Amino acid sequence: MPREKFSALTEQMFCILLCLRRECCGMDIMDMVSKMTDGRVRVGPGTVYNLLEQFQDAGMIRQTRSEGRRRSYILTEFGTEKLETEYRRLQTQVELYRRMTKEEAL
Amino acid sequence: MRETKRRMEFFSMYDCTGIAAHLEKMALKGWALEKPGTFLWRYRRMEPKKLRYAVVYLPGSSEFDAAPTEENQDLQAFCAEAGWVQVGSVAQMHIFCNESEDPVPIETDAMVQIGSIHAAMKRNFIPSQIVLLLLAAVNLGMRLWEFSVNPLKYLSSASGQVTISCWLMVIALTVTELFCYFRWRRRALAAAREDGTFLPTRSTRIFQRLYFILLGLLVLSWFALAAEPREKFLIAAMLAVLALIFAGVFGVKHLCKKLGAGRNVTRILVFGTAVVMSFAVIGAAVFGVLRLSDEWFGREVETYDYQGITFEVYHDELPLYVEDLTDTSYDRYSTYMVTQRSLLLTNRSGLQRPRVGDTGGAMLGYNIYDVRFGFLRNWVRQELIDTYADVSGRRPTDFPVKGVLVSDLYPGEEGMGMYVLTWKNRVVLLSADWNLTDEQLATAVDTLMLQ
Repeated sequence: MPREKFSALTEQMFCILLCLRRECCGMDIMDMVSKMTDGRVRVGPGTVYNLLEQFQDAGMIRQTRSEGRRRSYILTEFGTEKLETEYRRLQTQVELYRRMTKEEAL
Repeated sequence: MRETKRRMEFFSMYDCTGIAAHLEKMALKGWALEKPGTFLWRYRRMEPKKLRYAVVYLPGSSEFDAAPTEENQDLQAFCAEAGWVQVGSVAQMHIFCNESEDPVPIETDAMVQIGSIHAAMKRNFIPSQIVLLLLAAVNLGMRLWEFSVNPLKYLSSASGQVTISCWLMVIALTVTELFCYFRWRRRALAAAREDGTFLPTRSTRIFQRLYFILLGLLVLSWFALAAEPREKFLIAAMLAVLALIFAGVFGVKHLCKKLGAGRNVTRILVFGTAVVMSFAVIGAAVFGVLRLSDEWFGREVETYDYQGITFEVYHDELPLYVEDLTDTSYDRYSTYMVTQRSLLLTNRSGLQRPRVGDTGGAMLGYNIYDVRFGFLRNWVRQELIDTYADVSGRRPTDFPVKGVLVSDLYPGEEGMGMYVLTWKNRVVLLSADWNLTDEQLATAVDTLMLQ
């Protein structure tokens, strides 16, 4: 059975969706991701462009404004749910790590 | 010093890594990409410097686009934010350049990048390779079927061998391209899933270069092997026709794009031009070939009419004449000689026959096969015997004449002289409308085999 698209998000996808919790211009996302991760995560313009298209097609974001080539987007409800789900998945992994390392320490 | 230059580049459509690396090398040598093309890429001179190049694929783009699509313009706007400028496009492939030392790469997510490459390849590269492969397979199949029906004709014809070789090479090229692409994709997906890295693409450049060199050598050898001036002319004419069709099609595409025509209009006009030109030019060429007179190539030809039909009479020199074998007072013969040559065989065909409606003359014909490789000789002999022997099952009789093996295919048949002569690397099919005596056979052997 084929895997559902965006069932697990890469770090770049996660960061882009985080930026889109508030209305944001697609072109500003590259700088925002770099700033919020202290330069650790770099998202290329081609990747941002492709992912915005894919997120839109998947109903996870919607376009809010368009000024020439500058288009703004924001998460939809579905997109917010996806982000939440990913956050919980990552949390589960963090908890699992903490539990296992604590058990080993004991 | 030249300010621009053109180079033939042999990149696979999906080879983004190879293309970027090549352009970066060219920039260090002082050449910036000005315009990529299907085969020829144009470069302009500049100060040698370090530039970064990247190749991005947009499935929605087309080689018939007169101007950047909305999608392309959006992508260009995004890339401009990071200092990337689009410097050229070919179909779904867009090439960007950046002057920064360490710019943010355009693609930073391997899975996304592999996905966009595959979406673009599904639009153009994969279907076109498959169509070409099927076309080549069908054509090769037809040529091989023709070969199976008349193998000697193909083996002694450079045209036949070149045609089969060309289709074989097309099949090899398309299979290699498809195999390499799908192998890269499989490995790239595995690498992306494992550690998120993008597996660099690898091109089939060396193979493609080799292919074109071989193709060029094939065409040259085809031309060189053509024994008759008329055949050389036909080969040159055929290549000119192909070049004309290509020039016409590319010219129409270029003009439509220059005039800003829409994608669909350009597509229809280009395909229409290809179809119309193919039929028109090939039709004119066939018409011209049918009217091509041997006289234009220095051959002496006269004509005569019999019962409303025009026949041609040739006066070529032959190695063996009816008059060498028998006394005859008939002097209105047509003598025709033609040579076909390939890397494997040379076939010289001679035919002396009286004019239609005349009585008193005899018919004498022969095919002289000289094989380049000894192992072919017995095969040629057997092929002639199998093809021309009596279909009723009468077995040929073999006997030596002056050390030459003679096979009489119709022993005892009145008015039917058909013989296969074999000696060293020569096999001759000799036919006459009378049974040759021992003395006549000895003369024929002397002239056709031993001299």
